[in-house]
Amino acid sequence: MILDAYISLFREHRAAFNAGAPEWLARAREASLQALADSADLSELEAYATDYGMNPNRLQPSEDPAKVFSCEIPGITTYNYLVFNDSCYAQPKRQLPQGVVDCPLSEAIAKYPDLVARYWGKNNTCNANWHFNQVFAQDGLFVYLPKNTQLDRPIQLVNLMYDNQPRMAVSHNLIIVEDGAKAQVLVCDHAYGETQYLSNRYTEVYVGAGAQYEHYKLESTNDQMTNVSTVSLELQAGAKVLTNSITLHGGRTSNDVQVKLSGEGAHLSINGLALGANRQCISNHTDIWHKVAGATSTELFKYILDGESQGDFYGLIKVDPGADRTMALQTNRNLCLSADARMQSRPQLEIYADDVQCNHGSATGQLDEKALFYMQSRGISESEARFLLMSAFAYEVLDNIGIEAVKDRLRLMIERRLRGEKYNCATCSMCK
Amino acid sequence: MLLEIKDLHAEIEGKEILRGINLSIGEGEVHAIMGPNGSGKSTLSAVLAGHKAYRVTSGEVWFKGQNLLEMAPEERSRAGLFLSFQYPIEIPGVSMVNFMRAAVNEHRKYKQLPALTAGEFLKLMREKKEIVQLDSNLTNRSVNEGFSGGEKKRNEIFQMAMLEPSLSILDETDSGLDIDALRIVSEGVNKLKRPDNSTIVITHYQRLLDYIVPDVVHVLYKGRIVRTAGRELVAELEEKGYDWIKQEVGE
Amino acid sequence: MKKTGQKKLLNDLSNSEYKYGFSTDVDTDIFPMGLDESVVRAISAKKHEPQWLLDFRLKAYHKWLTMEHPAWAHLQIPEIDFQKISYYAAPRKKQAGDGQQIDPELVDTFNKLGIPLEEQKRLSGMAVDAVMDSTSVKTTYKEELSKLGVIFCSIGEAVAEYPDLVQKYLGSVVSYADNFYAALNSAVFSDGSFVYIPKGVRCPMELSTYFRINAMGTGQFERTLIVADDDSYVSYLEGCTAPMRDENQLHAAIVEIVVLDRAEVKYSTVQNWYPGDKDGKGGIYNFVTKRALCQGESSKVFWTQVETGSAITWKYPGCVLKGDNSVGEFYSVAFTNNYQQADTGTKMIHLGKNTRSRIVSKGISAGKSQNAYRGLVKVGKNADGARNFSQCDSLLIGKSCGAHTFPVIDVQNPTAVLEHEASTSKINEDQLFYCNQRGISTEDAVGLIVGGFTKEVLNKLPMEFAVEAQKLLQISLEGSVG
Repeated sequence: MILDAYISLFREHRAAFNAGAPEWLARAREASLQALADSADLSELEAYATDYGMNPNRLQPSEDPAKVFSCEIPGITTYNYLVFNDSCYAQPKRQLPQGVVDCPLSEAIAKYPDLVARYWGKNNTCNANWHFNQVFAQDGLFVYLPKNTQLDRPIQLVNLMYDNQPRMAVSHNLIIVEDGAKAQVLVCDHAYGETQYLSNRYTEVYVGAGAQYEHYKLESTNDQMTNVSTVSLELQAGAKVLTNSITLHGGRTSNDVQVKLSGEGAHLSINGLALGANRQCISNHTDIWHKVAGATSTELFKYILDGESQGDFYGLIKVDPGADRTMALQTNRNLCLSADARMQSRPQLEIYADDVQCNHGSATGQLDEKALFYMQSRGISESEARFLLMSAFAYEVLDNIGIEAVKDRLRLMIERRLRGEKYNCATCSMCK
Repeated sequence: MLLEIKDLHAEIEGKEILRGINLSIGEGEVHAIMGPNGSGKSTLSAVLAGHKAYRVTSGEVWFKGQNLLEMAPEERSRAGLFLSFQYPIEIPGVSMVNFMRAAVNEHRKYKQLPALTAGEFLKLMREKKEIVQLDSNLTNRSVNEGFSGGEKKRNEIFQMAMLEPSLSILDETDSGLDIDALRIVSEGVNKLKRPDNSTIVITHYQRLLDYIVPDVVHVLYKGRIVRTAGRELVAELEEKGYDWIKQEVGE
Repeated sequence: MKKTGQKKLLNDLSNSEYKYGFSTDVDTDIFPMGLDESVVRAISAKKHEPQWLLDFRLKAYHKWLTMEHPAWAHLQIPEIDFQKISYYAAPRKKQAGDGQQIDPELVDTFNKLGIPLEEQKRLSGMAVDAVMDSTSVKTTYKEELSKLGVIFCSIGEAVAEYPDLVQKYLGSVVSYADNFYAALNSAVFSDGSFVYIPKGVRCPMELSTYFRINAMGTGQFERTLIVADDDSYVSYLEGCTAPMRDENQLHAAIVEIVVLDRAEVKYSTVQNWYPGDKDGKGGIYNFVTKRALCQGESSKVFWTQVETGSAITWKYPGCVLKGDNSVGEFYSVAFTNNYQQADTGTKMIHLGKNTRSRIVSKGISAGKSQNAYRGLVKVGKNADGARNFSQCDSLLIGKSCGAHTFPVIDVQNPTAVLEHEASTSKINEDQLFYCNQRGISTEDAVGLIVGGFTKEVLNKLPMEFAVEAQKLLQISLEGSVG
């Protein structure tokens, strides 16, 4: 089977994969390799069941891809990083607040081995995606914000797939936001070219007491893309985290967000929007674990499915014994526009404490006929009325985005996408 | 003395709200407790009824010679203390009839009286409903569910009529009532007046006290009773507001 | 269950421990423990079954051998040794129904349960099929019903007397290969009830089966088959009890309902199998497959269940809404206390056009129990205009219990509208305080509030059952507040 081929690939190129890896990482890779070989549940690994090429020797293009490709959002400046397939390219060094580090992960492993070792895998998901990532990831973005520091602008990470033959890329991001620090990270996934791609991107985020962190992920790739992405977050007391995953276009998208609320008063707002067309499959899997008393979470995921697209939402809220005063609210709303679209929703509550307020609601249906009629009776065409209702439905997910320029840009892209127009980011050289 | 409160201190979530209340109420008396918002009026009624969110840090409360603070909320009720809630809670699915029947029979058991039969109970309900002109349909519904603000307050007084308490605490019973409802509610209270039962009327405004005339008026401010006088104090407060009280106590 | 029965039930229910914990000392014909092909053949022989039924059993048995015990539910199921169970037990002196003499011990047993079997005392307005262990003891009101063409008898009798009907429908809703316990039941099922309502007949009385596990070391594998022909109506009730024993006993039943054009079936269950003691010792494992097939257009099925018993409950009464305009509804109260575990819910499979379903589930967990709602609502490609509304609420009483909600909503048709709402919380402190302030003790207040919480479901039960269910809930609640 295909997975075996990847396992042998690693064994053949072990020295190359482990070049520059410290002893502990090499050992962790062997453990994960074993876990993959033993894995009984192969359904998780389904995404790997095609023969994609990898780049064990990490051959680099002759030209700096960061100079060729850019993804800019009007109205804001960001600290820009490009993960070109599997390698991270940073922009030239500049002045950062005292102690703040942002650099490619490969560089961080060499320069800050203790820091990386202290956090790496501390809150991993222990599933096949994690093991696969740990074995093969060579690079990614590393961000470290010491206590009470903050950056003057968001960090933007662009993951770009580009090759002329089927290609797999694996990368790993490690983001550490210490007590009282603040950061915003914007991740844009793009694919360029005609060939088949698979990516496995794993992001670990540690948010210290009273820290604030926002994580936006926008996917605008193509029908040939299989995008497997995991974000694992751990929040300490009083930490505030906002995540928003927006899927505008892709082939098969799997977004997995795993959150541990480990400190009292931690608050999570987790959101997502999926616009499905063609034969796109979009899966959002969220796992929110209330481990201590007094933490809160709100969740909102919406899907608009057209063509033969398939949507899957799985949201688990788990409340540990003793996690009293937990408040968790989960909402999933879906619109099915075509006869061949399919939506599966699985909102799950697993609750072991009694002093809690947990609610979930899920609804799947169509646009409100009464509202459509009302608008038409005021002279609005049916198609325009549909568009207005759909965009209102979608925009709700954007409401709490903290960066105005990003919100504006997303609104514009969603609007164009819903109108069936080209919806590239205008200044972005990748989605043209 | 029916009720005797001595140097009562109470807090919620570590914040002290009552800071040494002294109050004595004899049989048949009507006391008004007035005061600006946040002075501790509702806290006092909640503490007397035994709400567990409030912690009594020191002081004593004696009710008919019993140590009230040692009694569970339901024991206080059975002993004759009634609280008309400012915001009566809705209890979905529990019919007023079943709810009231359970309460009345608990009170009867406490007095060593036999439980009422269904027929006797319904007869009693019919009689008491008239006191506050409570719509018959309301008692077929779930407790307070879907009741308007006025209906909820009338329902409180209806329950008071059913349970015949010796001390009734009316916590902001006038809030959310229009003038007609206010009249019906206060007339209900007055009809229930007997020489041996007493009432504490907690209110912010004069208008309720035009209907339920107090013997004694207290002003509660920052957790203490800062002034006690006869009913003439009501008019004075209405005219001058609470600011002069604040000045008097040195604010 | 008017007058005598009701009064008896209320009396029996008035004290707080498990009410039906006595065992009856009757001479029982019981098979030795263990299961192999010869046991399956022996059960069939004992019941003088035709060849086709033996073949059905053997096919199921061989399928079962290849299947694994299901592990997907949110349950901790101790390993069950299927060779330590006896698969057939029958009161020996039993003489099948119809005016013949029944063992007075048995009459007495069912009397204690509030189910008089003697003709002169039988419950008015309700026909009862009483099943003890593996066999039907007595069916009342048979003649009266047969005048209308209604068939109500034990499934064993039906096999003998109406073989064509049974052969046509048995296994047509729940295939012998459906799941592990369905296969086991299909191989070894003993007795249960058979109901056939002919075209256009409204069954004038409630039909009821009362299940009782009595013998030690046995499992009960009953099978119920209800067929409602065009334009017919029936309301069917099921009650269950078992003696208090330290061992766990297995109950793996199948209920199949076939509903033809415009027919309507109401199926109500008050499940009160012995739940085990305070420390979780003993109790029934209740692993049941119940399904209705709304085959005809505009057919309707209503499931109502009150689950208070059993150590472990694993059941998902479902509806396959195949006929256009068919309707499926599911109302459930599941109460767990002490170490009980329940994983229960429903499946609504929308296949026909304009099919509608509604789910109302109320879970209450107390003590150290675990209570899960699991549901599937699926809308197939051709189910234009399908509608579903689901409401799942959980109430927690105490710190050591768990309440879980696991719905799956799968939509493949753009004209479908589905809504699912769920909430989990503990009893509202302000409601308790309000009741306390009116002189009602906390324990009684919890009883009142739980009664209110479950009212929407209990209201769906026939009157007599609703009273019993309400009492059962109050009894089950005792000792859970503290």
